[in-house]
Amino acid sequence: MNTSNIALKLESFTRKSFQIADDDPDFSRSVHLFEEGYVDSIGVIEMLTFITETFGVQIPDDALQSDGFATIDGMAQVIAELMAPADAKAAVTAS
Amino acid sequence: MPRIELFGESDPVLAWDGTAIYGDEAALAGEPPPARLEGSAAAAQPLASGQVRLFRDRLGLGKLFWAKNAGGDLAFASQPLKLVRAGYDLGDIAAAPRGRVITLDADGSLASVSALKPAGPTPAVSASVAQIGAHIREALDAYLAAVATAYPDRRAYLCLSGGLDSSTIAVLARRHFSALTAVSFDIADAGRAPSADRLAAERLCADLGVPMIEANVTTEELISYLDTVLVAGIDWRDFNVHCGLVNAAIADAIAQSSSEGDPPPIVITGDLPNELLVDYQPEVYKGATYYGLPRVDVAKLRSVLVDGLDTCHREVGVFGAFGLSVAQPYAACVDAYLSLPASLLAEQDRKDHLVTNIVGSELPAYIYERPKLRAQIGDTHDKGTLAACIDRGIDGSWLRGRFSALHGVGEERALDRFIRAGRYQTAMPTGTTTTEEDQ
Repeated sequence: MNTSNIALKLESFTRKSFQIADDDPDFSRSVHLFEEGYVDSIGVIEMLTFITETFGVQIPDDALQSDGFATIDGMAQVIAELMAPADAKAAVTAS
Repeated sequence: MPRIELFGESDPVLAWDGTAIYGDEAALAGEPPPARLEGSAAAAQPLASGQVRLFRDRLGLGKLFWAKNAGGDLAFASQPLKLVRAGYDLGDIAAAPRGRVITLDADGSLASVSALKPAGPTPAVSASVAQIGAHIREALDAYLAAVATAYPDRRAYLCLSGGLDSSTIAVLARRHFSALTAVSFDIADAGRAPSADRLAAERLCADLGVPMIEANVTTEELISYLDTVLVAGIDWRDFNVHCGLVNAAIADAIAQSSSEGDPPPIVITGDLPNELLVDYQPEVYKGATYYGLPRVDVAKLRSVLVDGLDTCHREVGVFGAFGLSVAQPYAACVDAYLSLPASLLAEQDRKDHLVTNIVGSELPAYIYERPKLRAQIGDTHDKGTLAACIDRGIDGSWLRGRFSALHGVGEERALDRFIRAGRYQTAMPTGTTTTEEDQ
């Protein structure tokens, strides 16, 4: 799964879970979810659960606490990097 | 060469290896923590070799924070504020990982890391609730006996709400401590009747023959503890602050009842089962919802709540601010609680079910039959710490701002990194970051 597809799923989950209107002009994949109040400390836990169930990865503490893990694009990047070894292994196995 | 500096005293250490207590005396003497350890334990021990040994218990009940300056010097303290006062920014302060014993060389480089293990055996996966209840009973008794043996001259105070958890400890502790006193919290503004918690605690103490002192505070007195709770509790989130206020009032009452020259008392609490049995729920006050919980399944929620014990210091830290060490008996049987079948967590009366298998009819029926109350909420929704704060405009935003001010935080965004997803920013003191897999 590429970063764009991951971001798409994350955006869909975020909009639905935290009731963000489709026409919210301030919301985007690059908005700081915590500083702008879209996701609170409880919401992060729901996002982490969604990420684990959907993408099969656990977010390590250093990534969780990084500045990048505050936007949908940044989260997608982190998830893609965590998934990459698994994808590579799957490719090797398949070949 | 980079240096290692320690700022202030470590948290009070009161931990258990399954047989004996590992406490302040051992920690201050530089004795290494036992490989098997439960209960609050965190310290940075300078060693004769020039190395420094760091450790934190598996649940993270004891706190240890660190920061590194531009010259590579490492600084350690039990509270972030001690590091802030030493010139570090909150955003650059991280918690040391829990469940580890870490040895650093004199230049701060990593010499060794080992993992702490459970103090006792864990019940079999297939164990029944009755078997696990018996296991918990055995561990609680063994732990309390070890505390009583380790501190025969220190008066023991039990925080007694009259709920199932603290009442269970009351039933057991009176057999181990010859000088046990219960402490009951209540907001006692003029004209207010005693709370249901107070009445239950009084009745239980009378039935058990345990003396009780009252930690009565007015609402204004309760609010006066806020700064102490924010700093020593290392958290601004309302639920933990409100719990911390109750503990501060209890701690103050205990400190005031102790005579000068007496050995420092031991405080016994009944905390932890609420996390271990997911016994929390959001509360509504004046139309607003407080203490929200993530919308995840109950097993995941328990994991989140137990992980969250690593973050916030409302028990050990707040009591420690009054010079008191805390014994948390339920920490001695955490793995037994975590081995309870998922089906139990789905039961509405899961706590009653389990307590029946721990102390059975030794606990009076009127304790089982009581509705659950929280000191934060009170019994009429106008008597708890939640209402006391909200009615004075002390909401989540105010607490966040006050925590920031106390810690010299210019931009509150630093708080989002300091605690994110219910966890302190955590990293190995050498600069490499720990992961859940490492835990």
